Amino acid sequence: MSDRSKAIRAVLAAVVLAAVLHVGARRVGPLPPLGNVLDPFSGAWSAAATAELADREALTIPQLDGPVEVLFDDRGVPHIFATTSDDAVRALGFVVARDRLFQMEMNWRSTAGRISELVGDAALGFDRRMRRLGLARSAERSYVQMDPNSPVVREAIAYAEGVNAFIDGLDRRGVPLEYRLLGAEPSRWEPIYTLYQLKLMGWNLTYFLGDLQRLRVAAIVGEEAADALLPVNSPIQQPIQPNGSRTPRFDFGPIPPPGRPNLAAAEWLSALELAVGPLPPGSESTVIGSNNWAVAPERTADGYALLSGDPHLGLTLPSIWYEAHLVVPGELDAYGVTFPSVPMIVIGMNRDVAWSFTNTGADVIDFYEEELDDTTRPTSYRVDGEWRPLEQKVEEIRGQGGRLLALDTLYFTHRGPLLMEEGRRVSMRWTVLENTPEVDALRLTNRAASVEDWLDGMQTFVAPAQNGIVADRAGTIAIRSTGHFPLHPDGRGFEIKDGRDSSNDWVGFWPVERYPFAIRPAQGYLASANQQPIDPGVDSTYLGFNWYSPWRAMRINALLAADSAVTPESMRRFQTDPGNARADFFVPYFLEAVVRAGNAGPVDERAKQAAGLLADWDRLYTKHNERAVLFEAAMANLAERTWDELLEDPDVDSNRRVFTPAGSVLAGLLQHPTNVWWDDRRTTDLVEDRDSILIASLAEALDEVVEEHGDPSEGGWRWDGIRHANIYHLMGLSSLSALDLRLQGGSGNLNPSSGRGTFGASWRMVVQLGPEIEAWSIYPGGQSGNPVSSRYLDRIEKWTKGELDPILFPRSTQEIEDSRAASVLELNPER
Amino acid sequence: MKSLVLWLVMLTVIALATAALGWWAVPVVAAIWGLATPLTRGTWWRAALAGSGAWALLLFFTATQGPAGELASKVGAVFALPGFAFVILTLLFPAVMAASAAELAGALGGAWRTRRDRAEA
Repeated sequence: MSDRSKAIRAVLAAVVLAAVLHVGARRVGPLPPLGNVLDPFSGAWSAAATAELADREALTIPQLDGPVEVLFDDRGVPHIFATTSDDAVRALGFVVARDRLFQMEMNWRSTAGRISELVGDAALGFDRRMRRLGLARSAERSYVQMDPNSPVVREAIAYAEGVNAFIDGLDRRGVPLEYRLLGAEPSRWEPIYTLYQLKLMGWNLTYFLGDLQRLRVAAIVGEEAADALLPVNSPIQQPIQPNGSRTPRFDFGPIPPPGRPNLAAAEWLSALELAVGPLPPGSESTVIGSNNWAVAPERTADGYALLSGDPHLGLTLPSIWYEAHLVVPGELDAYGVTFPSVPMIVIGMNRDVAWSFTNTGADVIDFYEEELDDTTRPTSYRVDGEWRPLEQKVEEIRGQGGRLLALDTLYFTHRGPLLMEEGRRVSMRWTVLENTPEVDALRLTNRAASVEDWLDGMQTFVAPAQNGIVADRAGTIAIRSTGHFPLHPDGRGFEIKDGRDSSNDWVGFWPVERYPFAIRPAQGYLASANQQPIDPGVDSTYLGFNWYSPWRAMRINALLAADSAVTPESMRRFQTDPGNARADFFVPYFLEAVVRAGNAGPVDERAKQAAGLLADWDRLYTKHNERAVLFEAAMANLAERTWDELLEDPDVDSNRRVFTPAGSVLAGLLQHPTNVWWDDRRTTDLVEDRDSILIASLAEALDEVVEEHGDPSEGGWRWDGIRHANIYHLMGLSSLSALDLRLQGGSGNLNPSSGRGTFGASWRMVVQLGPEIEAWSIYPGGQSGNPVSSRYLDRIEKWTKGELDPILFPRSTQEIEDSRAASVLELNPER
Repeated sequence: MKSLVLWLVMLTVIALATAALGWWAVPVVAAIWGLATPLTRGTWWRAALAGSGAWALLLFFTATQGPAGELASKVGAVFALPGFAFVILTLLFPAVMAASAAELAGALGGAWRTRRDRAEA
C-alpha cells in the first residue's frame, strides 16, 4: 500500500468512525442514540432476556422491617405477604416498578409537565398546559400539610423506597425498552408522586370545561337556547339514588328557538381556548362511560350480595391498572387494582367488602375574571377593593439532555391558577387543586369491615368525585356520590364570575349527609353509569349540567329489574350486554316517521328501504350484527341535520359543529315535531319538520353505508368489521399496540365503543360476597409493561370476548397450589 | 493459524467488553487490535467480522433467554424496518465501528512506528 493510499484510507476510516460513534451516542433527528438500542446484551434486545419472571428469586430492600414473600400467580398477579403494612407497600412499589417503571415515569412527568425532558420539543405545549394548571403545585401543597408520621405519608415513603430499591438494583439489562428507544435513563421516585397520580386522575376525570362548551353554544344561539341544550337537569331521569320509580322518567320540556348570538361569550371563548387549549367539539357518538352496580342477597340466586365494577377509561398498553393482593395478617387483606404509583388497592375487595367507582361528572371548575395591577407583569389582583398579592412561580421547561426550552411565569390567586390570554385575565377554581386527602380515604377503604365502615372511610374523599358502590358479606349494598361539590352563591356554576367580588366565591361544599346516596334499597339493586346522580325532584341544588345521557343506566336498571335471581355469570354477561336503550328509544321514531309520511303521500324509496332494514333489527350490538351500522349512520345524520344551527360557520363547506347536545336532549326535541330546531337552515327553500329530518337522515344514512360497506347482502355491514377497540402503547407506537380489536357494543351500550376506540372497559370485576369471597376479573393488557413479555397482552383476547378470569384470593402462601404459582420473590431486609 | 487465533481472541474480547462495558467497547477493542497488529488490506474486514461475530454471539445468548425474534419484529417496526433488517442493522453497526476503528488505529500506529523507525535510523 502506498503512503497516499494509506492516508486516504485513514481519513475515510476516521470519518466513518466519527459518524458511527455519533449515531451511536447521540440523537440524530427522530432516532435515539443507536448504540444503546442495538447493543445485543444490554440495549433494546435485553428486553427479551428480562421478559419473564424467574421461578424463584431472593432480593434485598434495605429499608424492610422483615422478610416479605411475594408469590406471583399464573396471571402475573403478585400476592404480597408482609408483617407490616409499610413492608407490604415497599414490596408493592418494588414489584410494580419491576413491571411498569416506564409507565410510572410517564405518569408523574405528565402531572408535573416534564414530558419534554423525555421526548423533546414535541411535548412542550402539553407541558406548558399542565404546569399552567398547577397540578404538581397543588400536590406539593397537600403533601406539606400532611402529618409526616401519618400512615399514608409513611406508606408513600415506603412505596418510594420499594421503587427506588428496584431502580438501585437495576443493571443495564433491566432498563425498560422505552428508555432505550428514547435514549433516557430512569429517574428516582419521590413519595409525592403518589399524590401526583391522584391529581392526574382528577385531571382525567373532571377537567371537562363544560363552562367553555356552554359559552361556545351561547356565542352562537344565545343564552336561553344554551340553557336548554346543556340543561342543568337531565331530560331523562334514572338517577343513581333511586327515586322510587323502577323505570326512567322523561322530563321533556320545551326547547326555545335559537336566539341572538351572545357576542360577549364569543370573546370570552377565544381567550379561554387560547389559555386552556382547544376544546373538543363534543359529540354523542364519542360518549364513553363507566358502570357499576350491586345486587342485594334477596335478588341473587345464591343469596349473597353481588357487585360489578366496570370503570371505563382511556385504554393504553400497559394498562392504567396493576392487579395486586396485599396481605398483612390481622391488618390488611386487600385485592384489586391499583394505579402504578399508588400504595393501595383503588378498586377491589377485602375479606368483607367489595367496591368500585364510576365518575360523578359534577361541575367542579369555575372561572373568575380578575382585575390586575398590571396586565403584562402583574403583582397583585383586586378583591373587595383591596389589592392582594399574586403568587408567582417561574417554570423552567427543559428538553432532552436538560436543554432549556422555555421559561414561563405562572400566577396564582387564592382561587387557583391565573390564565392570561388576549387581554382576558381569568383565574380558575377547581376541586382537584384543593388540599385533597384522597390517599387517606382510599387507605381506609382497603381496611373496611362493612359497608358502613367503607362509607365512613370515604367521607374525606375530595376529587375526582366518584360514585362509589359497595357491598359486604352481611348482604348490605350502598352507593354514594362522594367528593367535594361546590356550593355556588347564585346556585349556578357555569358562568364566568366577577373575581373582584369575594361574594362570588364558592360558599362551601355539599355536606356529606346530602351527597346522593342509597343503602339497602327496597328495589334490591343499585347502579350508576355517570348519569345525573340525584333526581332534581328530591334535591334541586345545582350539581352540574349537560349530564351524560342515561342510556347505560336505563339498560342496566332494566336488566337488574328483570332478573330476580342474579348470578355471577349474569353479572359478567351484563358487562358486555349488547342491548341498547338508545336504539330502543330512537328506532321507533325513524320507523313511525316513514309510516306517517307514507300515509300522507310518496316517500323516498331509500328511506323506506332503510326503515325496512331497521325494522328487522333486534337492536343488539352483537359482533355479527348487520344493522347497527345503519342506525349509527342515521343517528349521525340526524344530529348533523338537527343541530345545523351549531355549525361554526354554515357557509363554509368544511364546517364543524361546535357542540353536539346530549342524546337525551335530542330525545326531548323529538316530542316537538314542528320546533324550529328541526328546520335545516342550509336548505333555504324548505322548512323541515321532525319527520322530514328523520326521513332524510335515514335515506342519507343508507347511501353512506352502502357506499362505504357495500350492499347489505354482501356481508360488509358486520358490526365487528366496522367498530374496533384500539389500545395504543403509551408512546403511541403501533408495533407495541393492540389495534383493530373486534368487540361487542356501541354508543350507549354498557360496553360502549365509540370514536377511535381508544376508550373502554379498563377493568371488569364481579364479586360474590358469600361466606368466602369469590371474584372474577379482567383488564385489557397484562401485568407486564415489557412489550415482549408473555404477560404484556395475555388478557386481551378474553377481554374482547367479555370473559373474566377467576381470581386467586389466598389467605396465605400455603393456599396457592404449586400449579398456579408462577414465581416466588423473597424480599429481605439488609443484613 | 496464528491470525485466526488472534481474530478469535479479538471476537471474544469484543463480546466480553460489550457485555461488561457497553456498545462503545467495540471501537476501543478494535482500535487496540489495530494498533497492535500491522496494517494490511485485511485489517478492516477482519475487524468487521470480529465485531459482527461478537454481537452475533451476544444476540444468540440473548435469544436463548427470551423472545428475541418477537422483539426484532416489534422494535424493528418502530424504526419502520422488518425484523430481519433490525437484526442485520444490529450486526452491521459493530462491524462498521470495529472496521473503521481498527483501520484508523492501524494507520496511526503504522505512521507512528514509521516515524519512530526513521528517528532511530
